[in-house]
Amino acid sequence: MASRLRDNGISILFFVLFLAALSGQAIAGYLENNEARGDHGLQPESAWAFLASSQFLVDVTENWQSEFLQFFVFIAATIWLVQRGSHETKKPGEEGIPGDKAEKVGPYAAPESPDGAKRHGLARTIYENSLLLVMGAAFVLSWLAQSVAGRVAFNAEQAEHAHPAITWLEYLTTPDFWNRSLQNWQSEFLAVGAMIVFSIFLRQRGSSESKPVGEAHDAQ
Amino acid sequence: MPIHHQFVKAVLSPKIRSNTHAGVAHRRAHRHEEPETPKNPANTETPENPENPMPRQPARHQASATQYAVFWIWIATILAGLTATIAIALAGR
Repeated sequence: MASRLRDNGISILFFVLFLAALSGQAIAGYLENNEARGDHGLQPESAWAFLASSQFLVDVTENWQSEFLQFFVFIAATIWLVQRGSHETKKPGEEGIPGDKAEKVGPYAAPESPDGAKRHGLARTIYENSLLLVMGAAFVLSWLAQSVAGRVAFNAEQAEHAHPAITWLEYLTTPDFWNRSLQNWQSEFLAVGAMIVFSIFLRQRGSSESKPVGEAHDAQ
Repeated sequence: MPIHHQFVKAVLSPKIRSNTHAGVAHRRAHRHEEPETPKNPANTETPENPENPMPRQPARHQASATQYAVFWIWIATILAGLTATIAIALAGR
Protein backbone atom coordinates (compact mmCIF):
# COMPACT_ATOMS: atom_id res chain seq x y z
CA MET A 1 0.00 0.00 0.00
CA ALA A 2 2.79 2.41 0.95
CA SER A 3 4.64 1.68 -2.26
CA ARG A 4 1.47 2.24 -4.29
CA LEU A 5 1.04 5.66 -2.72
CA ARG A 6 4.70 6.49 -3.30
CA ASP A 7 4.66 5.35 -6.93
CA ASN A 8 1.59 7.46 -7.69
CA GLY A 9 2.18 10.25 -5.20
CA ILE A 10 2.05 13.24 -7.49
CA SER A 11 -1.01 12.02 -9.41
CA ILE A 12 -2.85 11.50 -6.14
CA LEU A 13 -1.71 14.86 -4.75
CA PHE A 14 -3.02 16.75 -7.76
CA PHE A 15 -6.29 14.83 -7.76
CA VAL A 16 -6.85 15.67 -4.10
CA LEU A 17 -5.91 19.31 -4.72
CA PHE A 18 -8.33 19.37 -7.65
CA LEU A 19 -11.19 18.04 -5.53
CA ALA A 20 -10.40 20.45 -2.70
CA ALA A 21 -10.23 23.46 -5.00
CA LEU A 22 -13.40 22.41 -6.83
CA SER A 23 -15.19 22.08 -3.50
CA GLY A 24 -13.98 25.50 -2.46
CA GLN A 25 -15.12 26.97 -5.77
CA ALA A 26 -18.54 25.33 -5.31
CA ILE A 27 -19.00 26.75 -1.80
CA ALA A 28 -17.80 30.23 -2.72
CA GLY A 29 -19.87 30.22 -5.90
CA TYR A 30 -22.96 29.07 -4.04
CA LEU A 31 -22.63 31.86 -1.48
CA GLU A 32 -21.96 34.48 -4.14
CA ASN A 33 -24.90 33.26 -6.22
CA ASN A 34 -27.32 33.56 -3.31
CA GLU A 35 -26.01 37.04 -2.52
CA ALA A 36 -26.70 38.07 -6.09
CA ARG A 37 -30.16 36.48 -6.00
CA GLY A 38 -30.92 38.44 -2.84
CA ASP A 39 -29.86 41.66 -4.55
CA HIS A 40 -32.36 40.87 -7.31
CA GLY A 41 -35.14 40.07 -4.83
CA LEU A 42 -35.05 36.33 -5.59
CA GLN A 43 -35.27 33.43 -3.14
CA PRO A 44 -31.99 31.69 -2.23
CA GLU A 45 -31.17 28.59 -4.27
CA SER A 46 -30.28 25.22 -2.75
CA ALA A 47 -26.67 24.09 -2.93
CA TRP A 48 -27.62 21.14 -5.13
CA ALA A 49 -29.55 23.38 -7.51
CA PHE A 50 -26.52 25.62 -7.81
CA LEU A 51 -24.10 22.72 -8.41
CA ALA A 52 -26.40 21.35 -11.13
CA SER A 53 -26.73 24.73 -12.80
CA SER A 54 -25.04 25.92 -15.95
CA GLN A 55 -23.90 28.98 -14.05
CA PHE A 56 -21.55 26.88 -11.91
CA LEU A 57 -20.54 24.53 -14.70
CA VAL A 58 -19.58 27.24 -17.16
CA ASP A 59 -17.16 28.61 -14.57
CA VAL A 60 -15.64 25.15 -14.18
CA THR A 61 -15.35 24.28 -17.85
CA GLU A 62 -13.99 27.63 -18.98
CA ASN A 63 -10.96 26.91 -16.82
CA TRP A 64 -10.70 23.29 -17.93
CA GLN A 65 -10.60 24.15 -21.62
CA SER A 66 -7.79 26.63 -21.17
CA GLU A 67 -5.67 24.12 -19.26
CA PHE A 68 -6.03 21.46 -21.95
CA LEU A 69 -5.40 24.07 -24.64
CA GLN A 70 -2.22 25.07 -22.83
CA PHE A 71 -0.84 21.53 -22.91
CA PHE A 72 -2.06 20.94 -26.46
CA VAL A 73 -0.21 24.02 -27.72
CA PHE A 74 2.84 23.31 -25.59
CA ILE A 75 3.18 19.70 -26.75
CA ALA A 76 2.65 20.65 -30.39
CA ALA A 77 4.94 23.69 -30.30
CA THR A 78 7.82 21.76 -28.74
CA ILE A 79 7.92 19.52 -31.79
CA TRP A 80 8.98 22.38 -34.01
CA LEU A 81 10.22 25.20 -31.78
CA VAL A 82 12.99 25.40 -29.20
CA GLN A 83 14.26 27.84 -26.60
CA ARG A 84 18.02 27.79 -26.15
CA GLY A 85 18.90 27.12 -22.53
CA SER A 86 15.41 26.05 -21.50
CA HIS A 87 14.87 22.75 -19.75
CA GLU A 88 11.42 22.63 -21.33
CA THR A 89 12.37 22.22 -25.01
CA LYS A 90 14.68 20.25 -27.22
CA LYS A 91 18.07 21.67 -28.17
CA PRO A 92 18.42 24.06 -31.11
CA GLY A 93 18.98 21.94 -34.20
CA GLU A 94 16.69 19.17 -32.96
CA GLU A 95 13.49 20.75 -34.21
CA GLY A 96 11.08 18.55 -36.06
CA ILE A 97 10.01 14.95 -35.90
CA PRO A 98 12.79 12.41 -35.21
CA GLY A 99 13.21 9.28 -37.28
CA ASP A 100 11.89 5.83 -36.42
CA LYS A 101 15.15 4.81 -34.77
CA ALA A 102 15.14 7.67 -32.30
CA GLU A 103 11.47 7.12 -31.55
CA LYS A 104 11.90 3.34 -31.23
CA VAL A 105 9.05 2.52 -33.56
CA GLY A 106 8.49 -0.06 -36.29
CA PRO A 107 11.62 -2.18 -36.83
CA TYR A 108 13.41 -0.26 -34.07
CA ALA A 109 10.82 -1.03 -31.40
CA ALA A 110 12.26 -2.75 -28.37
CA PRO A 111 10.69 -5.89 -26.94
CA GLU A 112 9.24 -3.86 -24.09
CA SER A 113 7.92 -1.12 -26.39
CA PRO A 114 4.16 -0.59 -26.44
CA ASP A 115 2.23 -2.53 -29.07
CA GLY A 116 1.30 0.76 -30.68
CA ALA A 117 4.98 1.47 -31.39
CA LYS A 118 5.39 -1.91 -33.10
CA ARG A 119 2.43 -1.48 -35.43
CA HIS A 120 2.34 0.12 -38.85
CA GLY A 121 0.03 2.44 -40.71
CA LEU A 122 -2.90 4.24 -39.13
CA ALA A 123 -2.74 2.41 -35.80
CA ARG A 124 0.82 3.58 -35.20
CA THR A 125 0.10 7.08 -36.47
CA ILE A 126 -2.71 7.37 -33.93
CA TYR A 127 -0.61 5.95 -31.13
CA GLU A 128 2.44 8.11 -31.77
CA ASN A 129 0.21 11.19 -31.62
CA SER A 130 -2.11 9.94 -28.90
CA LEU A 131 -1.03 12.40 -26.23
CA LEU A 132 -1.70 15.37 -28.49
CA LEU A 133 -4.96 13.83 -29.71
CA VAL A 134 -6.29 13.27 -26.20
CA MET A 135 -5.27 16.73 -25.01
CA GLY A 136 -6.83 18.26 -28.11
CA ALA A 137 -10.04 16.29 -27.67
CA ALA A 138 -10.25 17.29 -24.01
CA PHE A 139 -9.81 20.93 -25.03
CA VAL A 140 -12.48 20.80 -27.73
CA LEU A 141 -14.96 18.99 -25.48
CA SER A 142 -14.32 21.37 -22.58
CA TRP A 143 -14.71 24.38 -24.84
CA LEU A 144 -17.93 22.90 -26.23
CA ALA A 145 -19.20 22.30 -22.70
CA GLN A 146 -18.29 25.87 -21.78
CA SER A 147 -20.22 27.20 -24.75
CA VAL A 148 -23.44 25.25 -24.13
CA ALA A 149 -23.42 25.95 -20.38
CA GLY A 150 -22.40 29.55 -20.96
CA ARG A 151 -25.32 30.08 -23.29
CA VAL A 152 -27.82 28.83 -20.69
CA ALA A 153 -26.27 31.00 -17.97
CA PHE A 154 -26.18 33.95 -20.35
CA ASN A 155 -29.85 33.49 -21.29
CA ALA A 156 -30.83 33.28 -17.61
CA GLU A 157 -29.26 36.67 -17.09
CA GLN A 158 -30.92 37.97 -20.25
CA ALA A 159 -34.30 36.84 -18.87
CA GLU A 160 -33.71 38.69 -15.60
CA HIS A 161 -33.32 41.88 -17.61
CA ALA A 162 -36.24 41.10 -19.93
CA HIS A 163 -33.94 40.57 -22.91
CA PRO A 164 -34.61 37.84 -25.50
CA ALA A 165 -32.81 34.51 -25.38
CA ILE A 166 -30.14 33.78 -27.98
CA THR A 167 -29.17 30.61 -29.83
CA TRP A 168 -25.95 28.67 -29.28
CA LEU A 169 -24.47 29.99 -32.52
CA GLU A 170 -25.35 33.55 -31.52
CA TYR A 171 -23.74 32.97 -28.14
CA LEU A 172 -20.46 31.99 -29.85
CA THR A 173 -20.23 35.55 -31.19
CA THR A 174 -20.92 37.30 -27.88
CA PRO A 175 -18.29 39.18 -25.86
CA ASP A 176 -19.31 37.02 -22.87
CA PHE A 177 -18.12 33.82 -24.57
CA TRP A 178 -14.85 35.31 -25.79
CA ASN A 179 -14.18 37.17 -22.58
CA ARG A 180 -14.50 33.92 -20.64
CA SER A 181 -12.23 32.12 -23.11
CA LEU A 182 -9.53 34.70 -23.64
CA GLN A 183 -9.14 35.68 -20.01
CA ASN A 184 -8.15 32.09 -19.31
CA TRP A 185 -6.00 31.64 -22.39
CA GLN A 186 -3.87 34.67 -21.68
CA SER A 187 -3.00 33.44 -18.20
CA GLU A 188 -2.09 29.97 -19.45
CA PHE A 189 0.14 31.26 -22.21
CA LEU A 190 1.80 33.68 -19.79
CA ALA A 191 2.49 30.89 -17.31
CA VAL A 192 3.91 28.47 -19.89
CA GLY A 193 6.06 31.17 -21.46
CA ALA A 194 7.33 32.23 -18.04
CA MET A 195 8.17 28.63 -17.17
CA ILE A 196 10.13 28.18 -20.39
CA VAL A 197 12.08 31.43 -19.96
CA PHE A 198 12.56 31.21 -16.18
CA SER A 199 13.98 27.70 -16.50
CA ILE A 200 16.93 29.13 -18.45
CA PHE A 201 18.28 31.11 -15.51
CA LEU A 202 16.51 29.88 -12.38
CA ARG A 203 16.86 26.57 -10.56
CA GLN A 204 15.02 24.47 -8.01
CA ARG A 205 17.26 21.92 -6.44
CA GLY A 206 15.65 18.49 -6.48
CA SER A 207 12.84 19.28 -8.91
CA SER A 208 12.42 17.49 -12.21
CA GLU A 209 11.13 20.80 -13.55
CA SER A 210 14.58 22.36 -13.22
CA LYS A 211 18.03 21.84 -14.61
CA PRO A 212 20.62 20.79 -12.03
CA VAL A 213 21.63 23.84 -10.00
CA GLY A 214 25.16 23.88 -11.41
CA GLU A 215 24.11 23.43 -15.03
CA ALA A 216 25.12 26.25 -17.39
CA HIS A 217 22.42 28.68 -18.45
CA ASP A 218 22.72 27.76 -22.12
CA ALA A 219 22.71 24.01 -21.43
CA GLN A 220 19.60 21.94 -21.81
CA MET B 1 -2.45 -6.48 -25.11
CA PRO B 2 -5.16 -3.99 -26.17
CA ILE B 3 -3.80 -0.76 -27.56
CA HIS B 4 -5.49 1.34 -24.91
CA HIS B 5 -3.53 -0.56 -22.28
CA GLN B 6 -0.37 0.27 -24.15
CA PHE B 7 -1.40 3.90 -24.22
CA VAL B 8 -1.90 3.84 -20.47
CA LYS B 9 1.53 2.32 -20.02
CA ALA B 10 3.14 4.98 -22.14
CA VAL B 11 1.43 7.86 -20.35
CA LEU B 12 2.15 6.48 -16.92
CA SER B 13 5.70 5.43 -17.64
CA PRO B 14 8.27 7.53 -15.78
CA LYS B 15 10.38 7.33 -18.94
CA ILE B 16 7.83 9.12 -21.11
CA ARG B 17 6.29 11.86 -18.99
CA SER B 18 5.49 13.89 -22.05
CA ASN B 19 2.43 15.53 -20.52
CA THR B 20 4.53 17.32 -17.94
CA HIS B 21 6.76 20.27 -18.48
CA ALA B 22 9.79 18.14 -17.79
CA GLY B 23 8.60 15.36 -19.99
CA VAL B 24 9.86 16.80 -23.22
CA ALA B 25 13.28 17.46 -21.80
CA HIS B 26 13.28 14.11 -20.08
CA ARG B 27 12.44 12.25 -23.26
CA ARG B 28 14.97 14.29 -25.19
CA ALA B 29 17.63 13.45 -22.67
CA HIS B 30 17.01 9.75 -23.08
CA ARG B 31 17.01 10.02 -26.81
CA HIS B 32 19.78 12.39 -27.71
CA GLU B 33 22.34 12.73 -25.00
CA GLU B 34 25.41 10.58 -24.85
CA PRO B 35 25.60 8.39 -21.78
CA GLU B 36 27.41 10.08 -18.95
CA THR B 37 30.33 8.59 -17.16
CA PRO B 38 29.39 8.49 -13.49
CA LYS B 39 31.32 11.20 -11.65
CA ASN B 40 30.68 9.58 -8.33
CA PRO B 41 32.76 6.43 -7.96
CA ALA B 42 30.05 5.04 -5.72
CA ASN B 43 27.57 5.28 -8.57
CA THR B 44 28.09 2.03 -10.39
CA GLU B 45 24.88 2.10 -12.38
CA THR B 46 25.57 1.30 -16.02
CA PRO B 47 24.37 4.08 -18.31
CA GLU B 48 21.82 3.25 -20.95
CA ASN B 49 23.29 2.91 -24.43
CA PRO B 50 20.62 3.48 -27.08
CA GLU B 51 22.68 1.65 -29.71
CA ASN B 52 23.04 -1.45 -27.59
CA PRO B 53 20.28 -1.57 -25.03
CA MET B 54 21.05 -3.44 -21.88
CA PRO B 55 18.74 -6.32 -21.02
CA ARG B 56 15.91 -4.93 -18.95
CA GLN B 57 13.66 -6.40 -16.39
CA PRO B 58 10.20 -6.63 -17.90
CA ALA B 59 8.61 -5.82 -14.55
CA ARG B 60 9.91 -2.25 -14.76
CA HIS B 61 7.83 -1.66 -17.86
CA GLN B 62 4.57 -3.15 -16.67
CA ALA B 63 2.01 -0.66 -15.51
CA SER B 64 0.49 -1.85 -12.29
CA ALA B 65 -3.21 -2.20 -11.60
CA THR B 66 -2.90 0.88 -9.41
CA GLN B 67 -1.45 2.86 -12.28
CA TYR B 68 -4.31 1.80 -14.53
CA ALA B 69 -6.75 2.80 -11.81
CA VAL B 70 -5.13 6.21 -11.40
CA PHE B 71 -5.25 6.79 -15.15
CA TRP B 72 -8.89 5.80 -15.52
CA ILE B 73 -9.96 7.86 -12.51
CA TRP B 74 -8.49 10.93 -14.22
CA ILE B 75 -10.10 10.11 -17.56
CA ALA B 76 -13.45 9.30 -15.93
CA THR B 77 -13.41 12.50 -13.91
CA ILE B 78 -12.88 14.63 -16.99
CA LEU B 79 -15.46 12.79 -19.07
CA ALA B 80 -18.02 12.76 -16.25
CA GLY B 81 -17.61 16.48 -15.67
CA LEU B 82 -17.97 17.33 -19.35
CA THR B 83 -20.88 14.94 -19.90
CA ALA B 84 -22.76 16.31 -16.89
CA THR B 85 -22.14 19.88 -18.00
CA ILE B 86 -23.41 19.28 -21.52
CA ALA B 87 -26.43 17.27 -20.28
CA ILE B 88 -27.43 19.94 -17.76
CA ALA B 89 -27.00 22.73 -20.29
CA LEU B 90 -29.03 20.86 -22.91
CA ALA B 91 -31.77 20.42 -20.30
CA GLY B 92 -31.79 24.20 -20.05
CA ARG B 93 -30.96 24.45 -16.35
